[in-house]
Amino acid sequence: MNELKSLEHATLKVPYEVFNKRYRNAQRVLDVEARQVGSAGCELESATRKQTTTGEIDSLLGGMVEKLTTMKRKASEAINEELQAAMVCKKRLEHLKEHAHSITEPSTPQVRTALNQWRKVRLDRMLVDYFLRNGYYDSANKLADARSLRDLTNVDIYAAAAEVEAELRQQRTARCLQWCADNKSKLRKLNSNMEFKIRIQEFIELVREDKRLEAVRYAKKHFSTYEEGQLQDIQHCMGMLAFPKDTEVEPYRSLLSAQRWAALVRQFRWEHARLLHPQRLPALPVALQLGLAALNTPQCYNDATKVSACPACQPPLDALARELPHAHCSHSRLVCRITNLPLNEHNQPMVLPNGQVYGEKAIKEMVKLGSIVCPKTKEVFSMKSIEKVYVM
Amino acid sequence: MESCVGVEQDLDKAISKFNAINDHTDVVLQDIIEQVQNLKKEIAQNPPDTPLSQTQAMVVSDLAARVKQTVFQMSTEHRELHATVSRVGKSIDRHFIADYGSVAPKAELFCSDSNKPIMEQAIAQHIFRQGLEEVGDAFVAESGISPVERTCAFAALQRCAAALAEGDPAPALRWAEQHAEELEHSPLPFTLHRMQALKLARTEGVGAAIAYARAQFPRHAARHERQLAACVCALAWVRGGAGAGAPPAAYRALLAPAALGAAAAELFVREACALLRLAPLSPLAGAVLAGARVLPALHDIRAKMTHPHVIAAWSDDELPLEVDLGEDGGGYHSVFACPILRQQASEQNPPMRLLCGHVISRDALNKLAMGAKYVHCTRHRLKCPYCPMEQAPSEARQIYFS
Repeated sequence: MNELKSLEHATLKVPYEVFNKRYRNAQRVLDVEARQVGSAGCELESATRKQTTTGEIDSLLGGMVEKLTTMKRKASEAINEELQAAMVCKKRLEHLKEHAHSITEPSTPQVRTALNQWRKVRLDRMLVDYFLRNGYYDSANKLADARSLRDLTNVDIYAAAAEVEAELRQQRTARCLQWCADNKSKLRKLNSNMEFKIRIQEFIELVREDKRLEAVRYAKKHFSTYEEGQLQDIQHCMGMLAFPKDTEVEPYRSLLSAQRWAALVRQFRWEHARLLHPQRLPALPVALQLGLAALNTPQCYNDATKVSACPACQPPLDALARELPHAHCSHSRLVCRITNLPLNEHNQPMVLPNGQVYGEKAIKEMVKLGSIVCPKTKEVFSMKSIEKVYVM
Repeated sequence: MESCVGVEQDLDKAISKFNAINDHTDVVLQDIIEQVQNLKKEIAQNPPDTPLSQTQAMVVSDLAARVKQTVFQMSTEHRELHATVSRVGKSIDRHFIADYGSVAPKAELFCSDSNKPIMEQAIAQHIFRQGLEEVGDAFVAESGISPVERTCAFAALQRCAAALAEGDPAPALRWAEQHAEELEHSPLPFTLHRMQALKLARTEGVGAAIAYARAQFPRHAARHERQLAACVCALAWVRGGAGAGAPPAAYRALLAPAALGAAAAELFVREACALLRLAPLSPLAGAVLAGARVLPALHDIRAKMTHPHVIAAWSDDELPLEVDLGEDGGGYHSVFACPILRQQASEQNPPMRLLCGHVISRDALNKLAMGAKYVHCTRHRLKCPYCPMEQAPSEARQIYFS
C-alpha cells in the first residue's frame, strides 16, 4: 500500500459526490423539460384531430419551438455543469499521479525536489481541509489563495456551507432549510434530524415574539408528521406555550436560550461534513497523531535528552505526544547528538570514559590539543581514553 | 500508481460519454427545432383562418409524435449514464481506503476541547513559519487560540526560498552574502550565482550572463568545475537556440527555470537551517510527514490481522510495527535496541558496553552472566556473544547515546 491509497480517498470522493449530485440535477432538468415539450406535443396532436385553422397550429408550433429552445439551453447548461465537476475530479487525479510518478522513478535530485514539493502541497491541502471542516472559512480561503490550491481543495464546495452558517449565526433559517430540502433523501438515509431541529427553533422564535397562535399554526403544519423519538421534543415545545418567555422552569428555560443557535451552527457543520466526507475526521489530526507516535521515543520527555528538531520533543506538540504510544523498535537506529549524522561504519560511534557516546566526526571536531571536553558533563578527557563502540 | 490509473480509466470513460451526450443532445435538439420551424413556415404561408387540410394535419401530428419521442429518448439516454457515474464512485472506493482513521483510534483525542488548542497552536506556528502572516492572523482570529509568536528567523528564510521558487535569486543571494564565511564549504553560493547567471541570460541576453559569470564564477571554479562547465555550455541553448534543436539531456535540468528554482529553494532552506541550527521542517510538517509514512504500513497490517486480540494491540503503548521513516523524516533520536533481546533500551535496561566494545542491554548481560555461572564453572566469566573475548560481568560499563 502507499500513501496515496491510504490518505487520498476524500480528495477524489468529495468532488465525485458533487459530480454525482450534478448528474442527478441534470437528470431532473431533462425530465422536467422533456415533460414540458411532451405536453406541448400532446396539445398539438389533439388540435390536429379537431377542426382547427392554420393560425392556431402556427401559434402552437411557435410555442413548441420556444419550449424546445429552452430545453436545449437548459440541457446544455446542466450537462456542462456535470462535465465541469468531472473535470475537477480529473484535475485532482492528475495531481495525485504526479506523486505516483515520482515514487516510481529513480531517485535523482530533481525527482526528490518534486516529491518534497508535492508533500508541501499535501500539507497545505490537509490544512485547508482541516480549516473548512472546523468552520475557519476565512483562513481556508486565504491559504488556498496564497498557495493557489482552489482546484485541489474543497473551498468552493464549502462556500455555500459558509453562507448557511453565517445566516444561522444571524438567526435566520431560510438557507439552511433550503439545504435540507436539497439533500433530503441523503439526510434521511443518515438519520439526520437537522430539519426538525430548525423547525423547533423557528417555533421557539415565534413563542419568544409572543406570537403564540401563529406558533400553534406552525406546529400544526410542521410537527404533525413527526418521526420516532421526536415526540418528547414536540411535547416540550407545546408545554412552552403555557409559560412566559422569561420562565425559569426547565426545560423551557434552556429551550429559550440563545445558545441553541450556536448548537445549530455546529450541528449543521457536522451534518454537512457527514454528507460530503466518508471519514469522520479530517486527515490532519490522523496523520499528526500517527506521525507523533512514530517519532515518539522515551527520550522526548527528558529535558536532558530533548532534540530541537524532533517534533515530539518541542512544545506545543510534546504535550500531545506524551499520551501516545511509542514506535516499536527492534533494530538500533543511532544518530550523533552533535552532528545529527547517523552513526554507522562511516561515522563510528566512540565512547568517552564517562560512558557518553559521540560520532567519530564530532569527536574529531571537538578534540583540541589531544584532549576533549564532554559536551554533556563538561569533564575533560585525553584523546587516548576514547574507545570504539560496536553496535550490532 | 495502479490506484490512480484504475480510477482514471473509469473517470475518462465517464467524461468522454458526457462529452458525447453533450454534442449529441445539441445536434438532435437543433435538428428537431429546425424541423418544427420549417413546418411552421410552411403552414404560415396559408392565411391564418384557413382550416387545416387532412395531409397537413397528418404531417403536424407526425412531427408532434417525433418531437415527443426524441425528447423522452434524450432523458432516457441521460439516465442510462447513471451506471457510468456510479462506477467512478465505486472505483474510488475500491482503489482508495475510505476510513483511514480506523488505525489511529487516538486521533479523536486530538479534537477534544483540551487538545485541540494545542494542535491549533502547532498549526499557527507552522503557518507563520511559512511566512503566511495573513493566513496565520485569520486563523488565530477564527480559531480563538492565544496568539503565537509571529516573527521568527524562519519566516525570513521562507521568503527568500519563495522568491527562489519563483525564479528570483536576489534575496537569497543577499542572505548568502551576509553569511559568506559560514557558507564557505556549502554548495549554496555557487547554486545561487548559477541561477542568477541563467536568469540574466534569459532576461538580458547571454552577454550579460557571461559578464556575470566572469565576475562570480572563478571563486567556485575549484569546487564545482564540472557543474560550472555545464552551466556555461547550457547558455548556448538559453534563448531557444534558434536552429540548434532541443538541448541535450545533460543541460535540460539547467534550462528549466521552475525546477531549478524549486531545487535551489530546497537547498537554500536546508543549508540556512543547518547554519542557524533550525529544524528545516516545522514540528507540524515533520510529524505529518512521518504520519503519512506510517499510515500505509498500518493499513497493511490492519488488512492482514483482523483477530480481536490483535486489534487490542492498538490501544497498547507501542505501535504494532517498526516503521522505517527513511532519510527524510524520523531519525531525530538515537534508539538503541538490544541485539540479543531485540528490545528497546530503557532507563532500567540501559545499553552496556563490554570490554571488547560490543554493546548489549543490561538484561541481556544479566542473562549471560547467569548462564555463565551454571554452564562454565569458570566463576563469573562470560563470553561476548559476538567475539571470543571473555570478561567479568562487572567489567561492562553503561554508555549513553543521548
